[in-house]
Amino acid sequence: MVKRVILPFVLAFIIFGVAAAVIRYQREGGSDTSPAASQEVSAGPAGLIGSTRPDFSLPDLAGNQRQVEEWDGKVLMVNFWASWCIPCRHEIPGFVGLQEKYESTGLRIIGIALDEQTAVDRFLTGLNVEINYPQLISPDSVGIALARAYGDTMGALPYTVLVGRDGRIEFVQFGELSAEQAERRIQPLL
Amino acid sequence: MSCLVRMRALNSRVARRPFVFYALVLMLASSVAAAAGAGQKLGLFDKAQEAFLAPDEAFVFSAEVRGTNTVVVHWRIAEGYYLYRARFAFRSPAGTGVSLGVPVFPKGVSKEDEYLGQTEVYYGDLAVILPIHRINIAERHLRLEVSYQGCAEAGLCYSPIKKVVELTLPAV
Repeated sequence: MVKRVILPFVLAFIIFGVAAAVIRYQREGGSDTSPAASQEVSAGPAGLIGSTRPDFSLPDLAGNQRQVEEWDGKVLMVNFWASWCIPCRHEIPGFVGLQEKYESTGLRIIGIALDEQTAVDRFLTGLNVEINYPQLISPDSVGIALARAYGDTMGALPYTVLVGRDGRIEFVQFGELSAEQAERRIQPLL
Repeated sequence: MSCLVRMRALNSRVARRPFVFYALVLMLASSVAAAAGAGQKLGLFDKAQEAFLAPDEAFVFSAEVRGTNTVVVHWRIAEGYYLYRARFAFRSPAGTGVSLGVPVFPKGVSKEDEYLGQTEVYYGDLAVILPIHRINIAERHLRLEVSYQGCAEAGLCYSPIKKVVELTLPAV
């Protein structure tokens, strides 16, 4: 009799537990539990995901003009940032690690600093991390317009866009992107 | 009364056939799980998937003239967002009949950052008192340019925001 009463509750408890675990897994996008508050936009601004990435040509830290076409055929991660943006500072060391890990398999991370060169130089020096991917500079409205063309409709940073080998935008994120989150998005594209 | 009788009959049937009870529990549990899944898809449960606010929603800006020689600039800062004390700027175009005094800020909150160290920020409601001086005593118009910059605690910063307001000043 006692078994008859208890068993349904045990059964219900197990089912609720499984449902809660499924929801939690979906919410956290798998095993990652970091940067809970950053916003991944799988759909992005209307029509952005699946569209061809906009062209750009910007100077790097040495003053050499770089065209986005030179990285065609690679998985491209474009990270818009600025020296005054604290979350941008937090994510860059993780990106350095990703570039090192996936360099040979075709990942190319590009930083686009919406900032003055002196501020960028000072900032990068202060990071105490050797930046192993190109940093391009765009202190004026060109950079803001470019970020907007890549879907940053709010003028907010950091803003990161992942472009597949075919040149189509696969993923965008407003706000801080952890290395683990980025890696999970990058791996299927490599 | 008849309801009680029906309930007893149902209890009795359930007691005789416990699998009926299990089935009811299963159905209830699956409905809740399905509803929870749907809610998750709709974003009802997932705070992390909520959109960041647009800059003008995160920092609701307004400015008003108070008295004859003061402008109060106000921000309603949404919960989870903040403005940097060091990133405010107030300007009135040169050549107009009004100049701006030194803005008076309330004490902010000290925020620790591993890169920036201690920075002063504002949460909630912020009112900045801006004294004005009439260079031309008859001037009744002020074009005020205000810029500010803030972030969301959740890891997003907005590009510097610039607002221009046209204010009518009282006669002195």
